[in-house]
Amino acid sequence: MNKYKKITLDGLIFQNPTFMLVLGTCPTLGLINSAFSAMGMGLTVVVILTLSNLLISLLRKVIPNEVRIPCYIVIIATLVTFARMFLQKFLPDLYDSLGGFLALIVVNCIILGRAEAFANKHNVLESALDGVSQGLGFTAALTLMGVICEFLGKGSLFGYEIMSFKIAMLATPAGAFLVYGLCIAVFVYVIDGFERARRVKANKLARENMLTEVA
Amino acid sequence: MTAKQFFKSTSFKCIATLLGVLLVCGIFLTIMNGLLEVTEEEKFQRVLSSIYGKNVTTSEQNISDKNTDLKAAKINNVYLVEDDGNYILNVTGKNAYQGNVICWVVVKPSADKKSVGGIGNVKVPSTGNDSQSFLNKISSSMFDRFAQDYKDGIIYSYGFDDSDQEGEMYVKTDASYTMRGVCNAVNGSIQFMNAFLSGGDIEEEDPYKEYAYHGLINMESTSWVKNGSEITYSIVTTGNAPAASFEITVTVDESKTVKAFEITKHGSTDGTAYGGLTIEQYNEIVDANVAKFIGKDADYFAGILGEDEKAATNAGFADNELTSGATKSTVLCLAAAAFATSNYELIINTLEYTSRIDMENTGWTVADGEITFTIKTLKNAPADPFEITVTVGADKTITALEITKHGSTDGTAYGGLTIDEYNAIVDANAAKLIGKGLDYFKAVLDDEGTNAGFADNELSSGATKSTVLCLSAAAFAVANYDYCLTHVGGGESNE
Amino acid sequence: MATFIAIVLAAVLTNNFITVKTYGVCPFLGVSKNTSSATGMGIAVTLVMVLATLVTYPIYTYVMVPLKIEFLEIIFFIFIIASLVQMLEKIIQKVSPSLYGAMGIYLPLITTNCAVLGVTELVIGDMSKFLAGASMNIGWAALYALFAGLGFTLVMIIMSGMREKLNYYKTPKAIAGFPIAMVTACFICMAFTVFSYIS
Repeated sequence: MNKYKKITLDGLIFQNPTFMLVLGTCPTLGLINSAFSAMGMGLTVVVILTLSNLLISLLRKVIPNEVRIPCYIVIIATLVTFARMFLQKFLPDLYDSLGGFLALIVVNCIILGRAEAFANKHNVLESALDGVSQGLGFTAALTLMGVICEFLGKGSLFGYEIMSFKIAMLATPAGAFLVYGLCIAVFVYVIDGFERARRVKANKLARENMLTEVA
Repeated sequence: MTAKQFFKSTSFKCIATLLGVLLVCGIFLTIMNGLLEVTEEEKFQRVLSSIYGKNVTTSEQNISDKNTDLKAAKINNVYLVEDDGNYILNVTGKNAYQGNVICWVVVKPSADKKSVGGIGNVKVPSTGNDSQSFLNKISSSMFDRFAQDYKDGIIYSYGFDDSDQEGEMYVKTDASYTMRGVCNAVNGSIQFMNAFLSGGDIEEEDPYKEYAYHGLINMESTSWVKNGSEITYSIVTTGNAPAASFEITVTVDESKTVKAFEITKHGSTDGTAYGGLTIEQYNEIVDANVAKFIGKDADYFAGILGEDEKAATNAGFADNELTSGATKSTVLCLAAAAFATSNYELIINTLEYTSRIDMENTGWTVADGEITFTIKTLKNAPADPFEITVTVGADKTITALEITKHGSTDGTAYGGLTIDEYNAIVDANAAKLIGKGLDYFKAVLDDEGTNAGFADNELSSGATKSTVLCLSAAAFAVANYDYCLTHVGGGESNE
Repeated sequence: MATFIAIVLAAVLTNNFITVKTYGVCPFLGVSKNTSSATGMGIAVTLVMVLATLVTYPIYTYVMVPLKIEFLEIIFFIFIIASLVQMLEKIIQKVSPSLYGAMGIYLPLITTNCAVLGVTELVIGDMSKFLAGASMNIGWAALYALFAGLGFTLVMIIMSGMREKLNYYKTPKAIAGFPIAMVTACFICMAFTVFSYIS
């Protein structure tokens, strides 16, 4: 059970694709000026990443090692094309707000990266879980920054106007870079502190154990 | 390598897997494409529902037999919303920023479905409106004002102040010309739908209807100058096939008769091809005829031309000592003379340069050949009305000009100047108007009230709207010197 | 001529891939630590962008549209780009080992660079608005790809110059690495917003 917990926590926090690995930066920077499109992009990636991890893990014994990358690309491209058709048909608003970045999910390093680094070495269940948790980590990060940028940059949240005060620069790519950079700094700082505390706690526990043993 | 070996080798496995994956994916996508294809109809439906706010069924209305190219807007398509009987119009609003703006306008019919009863959503799509680069500066609540402010007979206009005046669209800055186009589109939609619902068509209104005998006159190129009790017209006629347009200078004096009549450009064309005369022969006849116009009044010309000058023949020529033979050209000259004489009264008694003057609060007093005008201007948003005292001397130039109340408003909210800075610019400009006559104001003022002529005439830009008001007041004073000399008062006491 | 200028201005300045469209940010952050590698990456990307456009645009217009298989565009394009990069790598290795030494290591990274797929998608879609009235053809497409690539290279070089300078200064530990790189990129983007006033 611990294995699944680790995969989940890794995806969401310790190996968060956006803040810790800094992957998939193009759609992140391009879409966080609106919380709606940022979240939409995140959820689209969750679906595609989960399905691609699942399929690649299923086929990992069938696909010869020499042609695995082209095969992965074809599978991912198929899923993206399917997602594009689906959104165009049923969620045209989201389709419009994602614009060119929808097709560019194909070259999103997270998806190919997880296929290569995880799915072709693990079983179906683990791979799918990894896909969901990595995808949700990506979604959470994008939504967080989308909320910050949209609230401060446009004075609105998910398209609803909240205040008239706005720092328009934060809704531009320049603002996206700034917010992204600062979010990474804060996130890494918090995680570092957390890990240090965990280490200190473990050391303390060990020392106490030692002491009790000695006593 | 034998065939058997090849089929067992890795290369074959690679190729087979890759092709297999490609094939499966291709088939999957083809099926999905068939299932999920978005049809053209569906796309259009989405556009409509995004304007309307919900899914609706619509049917396109036939407007091909209507006049859709209006002065302010062009109606492209009209759709009836079957669900509730409203109409959705695709309209091109003219005179927007750097061109036209395409809008969607929802028009609600009145209860009896014979006229417009309200305005619904107004949307400006970002696609197709590339020239409206400041479109995003207009908030969506601004477009809602069209629906909120609607009442019978409203004409929407774009403004700069945040007042609650109905139909005035407050535009902070940058996007005012886009808003002008949108207002034009909505006004055009109302005009069109009123005609459409009542089953009629739009008659383009004649802007010159108060002038008699202008049927053969090219009014846009025609102008006149008042000089005391005389008016000198520079008339350009239309063509009267086969004659082309004439250019004629006519002077009409106090007795309302023609004092001078000179053709500066003949319009007769060579008629030898169909058994007519040469140009020189025609010109001779015309010149002989017009020489007889001197001293004649409006009744004389009306008697020859009849009620409809466009249908005039040479039937009355002989009785009035005119020679036939160049009938079409002579009719044009008669029309020019008729226009000049019959409109004498109207023109001599019409104040000029009144478009920015609040006539009800403007008056003048005469003393020793000098006229002192107390002028209140209209507002020229964002500038409020100015109150200005102007004195015009006998030589029809400004001898004194004092701004008794400034109208500039604070512009810092949208990146403009403070009131004090505006006032300083306006005062400096006003000081330069002393000693100037009508010609100067003609050069510096244009109909749109822009600062295009400022630099050439030593004026500073920066407080354009306020300066235009001062210029308009001064132009009003010098242009109407003669009229005001003989008419007392002005303002409410005038009546 | 007007179209030429319009395309060049749009591609390099007003619609710069990195600062406005945020395409190709991964190599922009990853390979911009020194100027020589940034230049090498920029040129490699430009080369692939032009070649990819020259292949995908005719295939899309003359094969996929008549056959009504536009929906397969993503698979086709990414496959073409991947094969192209592979071929280019082999050719450069064979023809000019010195060039391969300078550029070769960047080539495999380019397949997953969104700037390349991005430009091929743009020329079949959104690009028409930069044409200033002319009709679209493969020449304009290649021109746009070339200058979009040069615009990308330009920003890469600016960024690498700034990061080289940054090495001389102490950055607080909390913002060392990606955060400071992104703040630097933020300033470049802000500088590029001036160009949005060109119309």
